[in-house]
Amino acid sequence: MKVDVVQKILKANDDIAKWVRAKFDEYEIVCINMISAPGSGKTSLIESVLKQGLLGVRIGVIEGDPETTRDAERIAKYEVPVVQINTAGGCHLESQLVLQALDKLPLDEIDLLIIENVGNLVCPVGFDLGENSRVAVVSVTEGQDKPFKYPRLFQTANIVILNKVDLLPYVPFDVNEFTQGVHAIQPGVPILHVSCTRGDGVSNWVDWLVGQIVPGNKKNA
Amino acid sequence: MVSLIKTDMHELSIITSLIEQVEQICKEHEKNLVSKIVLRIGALEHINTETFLFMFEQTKEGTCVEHAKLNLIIEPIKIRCRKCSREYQPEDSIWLCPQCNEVGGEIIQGTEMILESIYFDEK
Repeated sequence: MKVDVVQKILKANDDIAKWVRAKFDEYEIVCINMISAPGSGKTSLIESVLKQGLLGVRIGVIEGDPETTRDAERIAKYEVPVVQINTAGGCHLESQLVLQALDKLPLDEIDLLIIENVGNLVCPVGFDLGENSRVAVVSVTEGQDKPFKYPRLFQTANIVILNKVDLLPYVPFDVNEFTQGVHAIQPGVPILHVSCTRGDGVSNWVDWLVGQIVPGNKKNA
Repeated sequence: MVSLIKTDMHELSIITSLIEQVEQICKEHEKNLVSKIVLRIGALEHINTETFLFMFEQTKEGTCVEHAKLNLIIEPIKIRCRKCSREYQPEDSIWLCPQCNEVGGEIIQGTEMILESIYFDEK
């Protein structure tokens, strides 16, 4: 006997992501999911925001890594609520892990929740975490050919950050080719040029984050 | 103080999610054993067929899919050109429209992750 099903395979993850999203709505939290390869500078980009503050916007952070609490320790120095998820070799975060992490965060005191996904350009893309926006980060040492190699990430990102632009004089990275590749996959998606070490573009990144906070948010009123 | 959540290794998350989904459908149809599962997966999801089948074999014991065959249909990438609307399967990693040479386009096929159908054992 044959039964036609036609369901998404990751339906369970999508269902939990809906609950997570409802929880964010309830607490008026805007959630950002940061995806990149390992070492592209996701943690540094979060630190660059925490260093200068975000115009009264209260930030919480979820760190995803296969092992260690190093990233969460880096974030905890800025005295913001942070939860570390260790996936024990797992290559991506899932919505049920975010749901567990929410139990450990003071949701009443958070306006912007930044999730740093496990460093990986493939696996995290298929797993909705209940986020409002997705940030793709690429550093100039990785090469300009990333968009066509990992089109799903660039198709679903709300913003692309090209990090470590201070290294451009030393690496053969073709910014034009990269930009054309990103826009061939998703026309018009903003691309920010940032150097966390030198400070270039950090204010644009901060402005974009502030712009994600819905005006009229009761918490900030 | 840093709050820490540790999870089990979940490289198999897609398979375990799939098996849970199939078990739910078995319950709904009051069946115990599945003989075949058909999945439709887009090439852009970067699923390695051999690894996927191997992991399925390792995970299925003691579940309703213990004796099931897994049929994976891989859907090739299909792009629609934004300039001339031609639909094509890219031959190269750079998506180049064969009609007007425009680079890139809208993905219209290749991102599926669908449990298509299940066959129950009639025994």
